Amino acid sequence: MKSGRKASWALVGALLLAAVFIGSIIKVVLTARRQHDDEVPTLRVSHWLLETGYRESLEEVGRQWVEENARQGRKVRFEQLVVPTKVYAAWMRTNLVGRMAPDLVYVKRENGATDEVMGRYFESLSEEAARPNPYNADTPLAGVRWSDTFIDGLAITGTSPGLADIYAIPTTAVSVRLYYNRALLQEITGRDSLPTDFGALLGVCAQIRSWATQHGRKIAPIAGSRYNTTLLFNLLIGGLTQMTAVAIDKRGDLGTGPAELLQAAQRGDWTPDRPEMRTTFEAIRAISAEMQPGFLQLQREDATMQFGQQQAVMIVAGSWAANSMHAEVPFSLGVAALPLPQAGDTRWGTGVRGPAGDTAGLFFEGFALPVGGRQRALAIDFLHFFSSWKIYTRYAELSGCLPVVKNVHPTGRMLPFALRKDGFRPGPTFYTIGEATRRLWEQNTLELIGPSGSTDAFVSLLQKEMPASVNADLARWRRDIRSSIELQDLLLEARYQVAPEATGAAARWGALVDTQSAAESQYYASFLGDRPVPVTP
Amino acid sequence: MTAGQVHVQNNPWAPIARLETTLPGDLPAGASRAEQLAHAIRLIGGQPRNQANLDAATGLLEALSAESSDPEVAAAAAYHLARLTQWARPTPQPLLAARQFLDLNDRYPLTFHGQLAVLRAIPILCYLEGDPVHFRQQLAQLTKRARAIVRLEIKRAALAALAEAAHRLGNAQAEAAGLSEEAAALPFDHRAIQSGILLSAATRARAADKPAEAAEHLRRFLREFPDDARAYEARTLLHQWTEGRP
Repeated sequence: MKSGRKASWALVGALLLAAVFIGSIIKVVLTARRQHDDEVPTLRVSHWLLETGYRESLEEVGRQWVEENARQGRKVRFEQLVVPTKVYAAWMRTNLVGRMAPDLVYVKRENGATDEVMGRYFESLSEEAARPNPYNADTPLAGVRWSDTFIDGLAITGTSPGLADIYAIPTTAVSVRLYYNRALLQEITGRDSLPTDFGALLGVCAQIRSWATQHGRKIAPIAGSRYNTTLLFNLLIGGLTQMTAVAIDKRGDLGTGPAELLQAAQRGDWTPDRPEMRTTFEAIRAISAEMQPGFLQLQREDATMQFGQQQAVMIVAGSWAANSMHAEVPFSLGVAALPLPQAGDTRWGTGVRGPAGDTAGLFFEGFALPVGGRQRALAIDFLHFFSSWKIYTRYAELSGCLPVVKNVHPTGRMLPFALRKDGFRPGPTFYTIGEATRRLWEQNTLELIGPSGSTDAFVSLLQKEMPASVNADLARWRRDIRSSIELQDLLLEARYQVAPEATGAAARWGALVDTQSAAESQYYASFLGDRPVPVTP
Repeated sequence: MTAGQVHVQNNPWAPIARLETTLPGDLPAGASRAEQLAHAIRLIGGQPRNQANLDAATGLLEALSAESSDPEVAAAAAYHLARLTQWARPTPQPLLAARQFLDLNDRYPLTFHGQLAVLRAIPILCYLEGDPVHFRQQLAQLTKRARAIVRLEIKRAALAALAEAAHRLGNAQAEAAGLSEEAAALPFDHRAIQSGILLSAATRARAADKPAEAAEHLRRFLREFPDDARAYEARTLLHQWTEGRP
């Protein structure tokens, strides 16, 4: 009887949740399709970015764009549509299939913007990107190809990797840093900034713990949650295994993608018992001991609250959280790069080559133009306006983003987040190799950092379990790369047949030939681990 | 709408360029060979992807490849037949496909697809053939074909793929360095790949004990990609390899 009542309540709860979910979807769709009474063209843009400052800054750019159009004798409107991250991918796909998408859609690989979705539902911006941005006249970027006005030439931020074509106009770069409570740090340790070395950071953490015990205060050195420690562990593992990146770079291009990691793991070139991996696990054990017990069960909000309520001196978070953090905490905020071991540090630096760079600061992410949009010309005009030097400089000031447009500098508050170019690439991490290995790592982290955890036991566990997870990830990677190659086959044929010799056309199919050939070499090279590597006499 | 898109509208390739997955209707009587080719490609890329559609595509492609009066279409048909052998039906047979690609290159060396065929054969033969004794011989034969490619966009990719294979498979560092050098000398459209080619050329030249060439590749990379995330590492390597000499 009791269990039946419980089940009824569970059903009511589930129905309520479903009703709220459906209601919010309907609201979003209705808002998207809201028609104005007059004939004024309205540019609608969608995104999921709820961090403080983003919407307001974009609204301001939209307002200026409307004014600029008015000066040119055109009456237009600008509307933002903010869709929650959790439903964004499904919402986007539904609207794209139904040809009801807004005029500009913010896209990101992790939010459903696969090569297939980009190729099928979005318009390539490569032709537009090859021409100068008209709004850059009389600025330092006047006459420069639109793509070359971005810090990476849109090679990463704007290009859908498997399609070798520009599809998105980015809005920001990102970096991850250690935020700290300056006053609390000073009160406890007498210093107002963090050390720059990992060993010294652990020393500061020990000081904080000791001080908290002596003063009967509930203060942890670092606020932790699964979200925040994912950022922290990723930085730490990558920073401590720089040497491994060199060892497994079989292409010799100073890059280490998932394919190389998987192949190295399969060949046995990357194993958990390598000395630098053991050191890394020790480092993770040490840094985890500086967070509140049970942090892996906590959410991002819990850690932010702990830090905001001055129950922790430090927290690891991204540049995207800077505005919210500054707005919400009642104390002076310090920001620093995570102190990593120096090369030559015999305790922690066995796998370190030198300073760490922010190589992961750029992703394929930005505003994209759905095929067949009613306001195509306005959408491109807005993208030109938004990313023009003068307007983007203002946007960077207002939003506090890390600039992606050349010659635009971060605001003073964002300077500590500026991408560090003077550093080595990170080594392989469990977060980048593949879903199965990532899951293996996340589900067993307690074996390493829990009260009864140990490095030896964890290494043994990984040695036993990793071959299966690596094989699963390799199989998945091969499936994905094959799908991508088959998609590229269709595009390559169409691009060639449509305009084999036209100006610019060869560049488009040529870029696809390059991309596809590189992928195909990686694909077949991945089978080398399945048999002895041939050695020529 | 751009000029390119207008051009695409009345073209049988337009649905493929848009990655449409709907299957084409019946092929109209009197369809041109180009339309038949486009129809076959739509059958391959359409959904649902089943054996019946692949068989229908195969039938069309076989008929098109057998008629050599229009070499471009015949070569394209033969190319896609080999692609089906490589990936799709009934069981992928990449080594058989590699032989079909080389035959295609022999028959139509000057067509787009005849040249693309060499590029497709390279990774299959280098990584799957499993014949270490003859690897150098095979590398030499494939290199000869790659050097004969007229279209630079395909030639540079073929040279780069061969260089990578020579580098990965060991004991062919001199060949790897030479092929990388040739690939790096050709213009690349894809900037991310171009930067990688220059760095690979540098490390392969270094492995082949050609420090001057290695340093020159690094200098070129730093000139052309000063903002690349790997610039710091390239500068460090350049300093180490030249012992601080500018």
